[in-house]
Amino acid sequence: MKKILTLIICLFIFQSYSHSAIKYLYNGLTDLTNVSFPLFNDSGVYIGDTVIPYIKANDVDTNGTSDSPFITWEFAKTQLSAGDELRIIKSDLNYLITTSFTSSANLTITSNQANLFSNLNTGQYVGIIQTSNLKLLGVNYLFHPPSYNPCMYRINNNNIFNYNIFRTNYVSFYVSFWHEAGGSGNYIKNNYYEDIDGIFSTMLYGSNDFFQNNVINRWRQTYSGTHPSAFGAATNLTLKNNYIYNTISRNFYDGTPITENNYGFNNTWAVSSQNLVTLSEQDLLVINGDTYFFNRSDTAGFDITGLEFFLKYGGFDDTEVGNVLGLERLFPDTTARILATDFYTIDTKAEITSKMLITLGWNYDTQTQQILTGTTSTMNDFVYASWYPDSPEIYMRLIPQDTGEITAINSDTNVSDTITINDTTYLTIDVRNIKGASGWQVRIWNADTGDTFGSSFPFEFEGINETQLLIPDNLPIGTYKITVTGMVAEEFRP
Amino acid sequence: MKKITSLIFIIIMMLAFNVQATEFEEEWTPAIQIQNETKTVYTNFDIASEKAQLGDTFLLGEWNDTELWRQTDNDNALKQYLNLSEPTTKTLKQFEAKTVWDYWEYNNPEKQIKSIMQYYFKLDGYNRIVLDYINYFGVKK
Repeated sequence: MKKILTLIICLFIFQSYSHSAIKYLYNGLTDLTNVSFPLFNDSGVYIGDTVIPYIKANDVDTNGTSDSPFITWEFAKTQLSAGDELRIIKSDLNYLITTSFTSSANLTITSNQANLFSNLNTGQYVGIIQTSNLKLLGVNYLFHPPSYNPCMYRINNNNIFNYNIFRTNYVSFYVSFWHEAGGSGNYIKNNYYEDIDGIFSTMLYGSNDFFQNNVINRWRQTYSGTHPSAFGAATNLTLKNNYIYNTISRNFYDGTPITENNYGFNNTWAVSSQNLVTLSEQDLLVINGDTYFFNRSDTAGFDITGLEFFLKYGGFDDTEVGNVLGLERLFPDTTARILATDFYTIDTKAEITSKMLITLGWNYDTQTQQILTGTTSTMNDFVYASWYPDSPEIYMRLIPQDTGEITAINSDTNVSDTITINDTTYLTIDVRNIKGASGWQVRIWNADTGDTFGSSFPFEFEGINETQLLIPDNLPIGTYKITVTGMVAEEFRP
Repeated sequence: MKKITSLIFIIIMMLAFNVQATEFEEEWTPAIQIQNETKTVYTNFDIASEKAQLGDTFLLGEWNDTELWRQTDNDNALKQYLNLSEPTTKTLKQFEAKTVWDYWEYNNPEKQIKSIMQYYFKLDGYNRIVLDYINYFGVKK
């Protein structure tokens, strides 16, 4: 009897999952072979790449298999059943969203950064609306609504939005994620959000959601009314490791203008557009016209073997490295688009780069840097980590001596144009080598002029390492960066 | 005087913005509009089915007390009312020598309205057969 029951249960489970399918959406004009495509686990975390052997450039919008994929998003979305994964393959053409998408089914939409374009004009709730149990992973979504008060997403419960790039250029009140009343459990992580031309907007309107590891670029946000800020009327949010810049809202809730140059809580940092901006367009990575949220200087390069190219971005703790690695590796064809020209100006092939490194004797791939702005900023517990795939990392903690503060008085106060260092002229930097570099070097430099005012000679790693940098008096106001470079000497190279 | 006028203008503008923002918070309720001479909108689908005649069609949309009716072509509420997530009937048609979907029907025998998705295709700029639009509506049966 037990066996029969077990069999029935197995049959039931099989039946439950038998309708699940991987379906393909590709609107390109030429067939594709051996397409690298990201894979994600049930939590929406990137776990590796797969290779899709063949994707046909289809001539009729009816099927959904890899050799007869859907052509339009509008058709594909009607063909999805609960449990399905829709893989949107990047092509040279945009996938047009012309009607809203509503679903409560358990759906997964993945992409290798295909471009979705929406110019819906059907009222204030447009875009992807009233979804539950939807995972949207790895898309590049431009939202250009012509009407007022639009939503890019209106979400209910248990949605996951990871590794996406969202852009909007609407000019009036705007909400990216409108959280339905009573909804909860939405995860919005590892995304880049840019309000290209908005007057005022809200990134997230809702409650009981998890908003982590996102980079938000908002500008021209001049309105301070009901929902002026990044998180308008948001309550009970879990905010962690987000980076907001070009914003005027200090506390993310009521539009109080920023009076310092940056302000943060829950490890979410806001940088005012009215004072110093520590991250600019030039700090973003532009590949084939697409902007990604990577710093230029420490986010692309070859690993210590000189054979593997990597991309990364910062602001994560150790437990979230898995997520970050997912983002780093999300663009499997970036090896062909090398940004490493920041480091290697002529030839970007791995083996030749490696040869150059051997000549120089050092490998700069383990660079990490922390931005210091001319600001009132407590440097205690100022932690920044850097990493690259499959390797240990350099872990940097900046610990100022004595008062633990570096105080900057910006020019807006008309008090001083200099940074004053309280009670110490030294900055102590601890570096813990968990990335395998054999030596390290540190310097503090002006991001605008490139002038270095404090630097150390290379050190050999031995346990937790510490050095002190002299900080000169009357330091001009500006944006400063501390760069720690992990290095591998020639004799240590494999 | 100019200053006062400017001040009033600014206040009006601010109020306008606030009204706009407040408006955003108003809820819309799923609704259907019967396509006979009355054009009546119903938020209760059972009552709508009672009031309709055989073959009457319904547009799909939303209602709120301020802006009244608007069409959205969102069939989610009707599917939930019918308690059907998958179509009960699918039909095909020929278009440019290819077989494509014609219409999908969501028909629950216990309800007096059925939901229809009617597919329309076109040739795109690359001479491919792609979806043009989908017509969503309800039908009294």
